[in-house]
Amino acid sequence: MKKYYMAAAHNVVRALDAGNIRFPIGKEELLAQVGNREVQIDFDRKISISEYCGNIKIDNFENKAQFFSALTAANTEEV
Amino acid sequence: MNIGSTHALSGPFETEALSVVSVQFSPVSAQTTEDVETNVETICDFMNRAVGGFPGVDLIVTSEGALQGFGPDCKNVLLNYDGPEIRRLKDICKSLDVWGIFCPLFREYAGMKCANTCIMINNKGEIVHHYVKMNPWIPGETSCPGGECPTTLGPKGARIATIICADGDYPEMWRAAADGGANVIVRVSFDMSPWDKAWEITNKAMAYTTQCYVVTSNAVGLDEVYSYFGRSMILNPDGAIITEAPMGLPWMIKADLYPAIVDHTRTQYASNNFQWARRHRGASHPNLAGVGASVRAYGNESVR
Repeated sequence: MKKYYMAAAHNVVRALDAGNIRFPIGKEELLAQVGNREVQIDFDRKISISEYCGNIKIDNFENKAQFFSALTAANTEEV
Repeated sequence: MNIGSTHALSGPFETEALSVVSVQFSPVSAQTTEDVETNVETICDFMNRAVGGFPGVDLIVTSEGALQGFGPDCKNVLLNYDGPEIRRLKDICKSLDVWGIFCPLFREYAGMKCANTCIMINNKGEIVHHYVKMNPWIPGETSCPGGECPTTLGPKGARIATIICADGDYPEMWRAAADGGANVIVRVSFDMSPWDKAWEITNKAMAYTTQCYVVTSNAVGLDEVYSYFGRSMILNPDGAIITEAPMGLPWMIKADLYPAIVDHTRTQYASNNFQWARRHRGASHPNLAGVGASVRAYGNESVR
């Protein structure tokens, strides 16, 4: 059975907490605070929060739900 | 508390405990002013009992019909907004330094004749909240329906909305309370057999879907027609019952609630943030990019 790396969201939560991120927040401010932090998103891949958020299309996050929805959308390929 | 989201509820926040007592008893099915006075006396007795048994209580909740019952003659004992019964409730709230929620059937309130009204009196003896039942239990109840479900600042960071009995059978009433910013929804009832199971289902389900604390008070006993089951309960925002009074007995239940937790979940829940997600459907789809679709896009904006 193929194994998947499942800790990406957890690692992002840890990075947000470490940067004392509170919502609501703008993308620019969020990236200024934690954009340089590296998060592991696969067994063999670490990227910066800035890179991970690179394709997010909105500029403000009303709450954590919106941030993670935007992050998921930005890293999901269209079917 | 707290199982509502897969993600941890991150970050520090300040909160203060709201100590709540819910009272259930069997009011006299009032036919005369003296009967109403008897019920007011009983309410005052329970309030004194509540502060004695639960020192430091902030809010005491009583049931629908606690002043007048809901018998065939209740329309003959309608109360005046500034009448002596209400003054007595104001006085006891002030003297005990507690907030109270009561449900008089007013002769008239805000132009509505025969208004089944939930009022909240603060610890200074002032009425600070009014809600007129929007869904009278038709065809049996002939009160005039109200038109709005306000939220009022209460003690200890609580933002309190009230609904009354049959209102709780309509999910949109609970949603209106949550949309109005409530973190505590109080449901006062005069609910009877055969709806004791529906009582639990609706309280649990709507605490869960609104992600608010729910405090309920229901009458017990018999009147000319019905049997009122009690089972007053206080519930977590995840739908779990914190404490519940027994069926059919006069009782008081008490719980310490933390309203600020509800406020914190509104911004910190990543998954299952219903208040946000229902207006941003599919926000994780690549084309919807963190914004999602509004309920209007689905043609069912009436749920807002």
